[in-house]
Amino acid sequence: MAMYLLEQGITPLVIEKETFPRYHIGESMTGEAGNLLRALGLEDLLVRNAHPRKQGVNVVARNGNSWWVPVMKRNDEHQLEPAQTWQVRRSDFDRDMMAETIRRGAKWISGRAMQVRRSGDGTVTGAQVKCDDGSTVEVESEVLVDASGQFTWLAHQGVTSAKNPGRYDKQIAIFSQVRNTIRGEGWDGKDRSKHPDNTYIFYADQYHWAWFIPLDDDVVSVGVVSPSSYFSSKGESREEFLRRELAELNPDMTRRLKDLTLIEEARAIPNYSYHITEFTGKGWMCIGDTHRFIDPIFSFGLYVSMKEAQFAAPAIKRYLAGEGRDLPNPFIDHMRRMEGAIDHLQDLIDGFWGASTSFAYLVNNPRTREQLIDLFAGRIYDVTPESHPAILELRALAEKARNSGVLWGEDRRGSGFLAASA
Amino acid sequence: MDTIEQTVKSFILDSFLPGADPNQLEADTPLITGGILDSLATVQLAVFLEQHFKVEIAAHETGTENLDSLALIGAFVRSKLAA
Repeated sequence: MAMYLLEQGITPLVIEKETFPRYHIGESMTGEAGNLLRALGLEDLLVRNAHPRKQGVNVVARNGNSWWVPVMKRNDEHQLEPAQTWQVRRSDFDRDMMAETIRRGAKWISGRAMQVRRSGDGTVTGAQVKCDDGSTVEVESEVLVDASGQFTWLAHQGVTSAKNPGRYDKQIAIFSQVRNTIRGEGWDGKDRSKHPDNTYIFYADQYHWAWFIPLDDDVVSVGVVSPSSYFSSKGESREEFLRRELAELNPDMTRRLKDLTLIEEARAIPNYSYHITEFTGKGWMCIGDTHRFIDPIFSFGLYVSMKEAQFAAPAIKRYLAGEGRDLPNPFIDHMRRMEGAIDHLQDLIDGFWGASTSFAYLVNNPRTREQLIDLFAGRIYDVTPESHPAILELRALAEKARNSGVLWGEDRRGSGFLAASA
Repeated sequence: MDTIEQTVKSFILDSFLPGADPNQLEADTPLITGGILDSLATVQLAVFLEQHFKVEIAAHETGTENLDSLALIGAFVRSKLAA
């Protein structure tokens, strides 16, 4: 966010409670996330730090059936061509991003935002910050951007609308890292599906799956996601659960994990799915995970945060120049645009969990494959069903699954909100 | 067996049941629920139907209600061709 503001000629003040490096989940990037970093001039940094070069995602069922989605970009003629993105160890990546942000001119406070400040009409005007040196400062702001991720600071402060459970809020993710895995079998420099830096998604049953994300030449991030009730029923510690699941969940994953020694603490995030429908207002906005998180399966979290920041920066510049100052929500157009894009991700994920075989049909059907590759890459902004008819097929899949009780909950896309706000 | 069913039967025998006795695959033999077609084979069958018969099959139509037997597939493709 800070880098995008700097590009707009705005000098941001970053309030950062973390001390880097520190562990963080969310390590895999979509194709378009890689392009964002290139556009920010960060490719050399990523290459220098030898982050794994992700070529795509292999999705492997328990019976060994699999499908492959390559990272592809759209060239100037709008044709798809091979591309690559990155997997990043977030402790390193986030440290480097923070350092680069400061190097480019952002100001920063090492401390914790404690209390939002608002004027009489509700405009957010700043925050009280407790600094790491023990002092307390009042920070005044023209625009306060919540980039606190799943901490959802402005939601906790009561500034946003309610933080409602998402469709996958009954899930739990448990994760760590391992070494000595089998990666890139048969990689000959041609078949990108066999590249050793690729992501694997192994699934067992509906809502029960695991990720495998290389973080360097040796270490792989592994995680298991399942219904929370399933985790509870096992009566195991997080580490016991993770190690047993990694050994049992999917035969191909079992084969690839030769050593189940966890080299990081087994961490857990329960109830990770939520949705805040009103996430901008006068003097404030939320980006990325601070307003909505659906499901980690297709690694959209890091990308959405970065992409929303890219869109937010010019909107903030226009606001600072006086545009929309008299409106109750000067950023409503931005909010609708972001919400509509994440609705496409909801359709994608709901379609997958609603009917994985029918979803695989869309991925492997020449009629729809390019549209699915676009969605997986993150080309979701300003996309319409007219330009991507497969979106309608995904929605129909999800609707059929909901009606038959296969898919949890009601329709949680933002379209209802959009209609109500129009 | 109608032409559509015969064409689909040949595709299934060639693709997923090489060497099997063709007489064992009857019009009402359960294909998906009977374990003849796994998920990948079902995907391949649906793509084949779309391309061979020049019909558009939506993803939500690729379930057992339309693809679980040669008879169901025949009726489904005929309905698509008539639409």
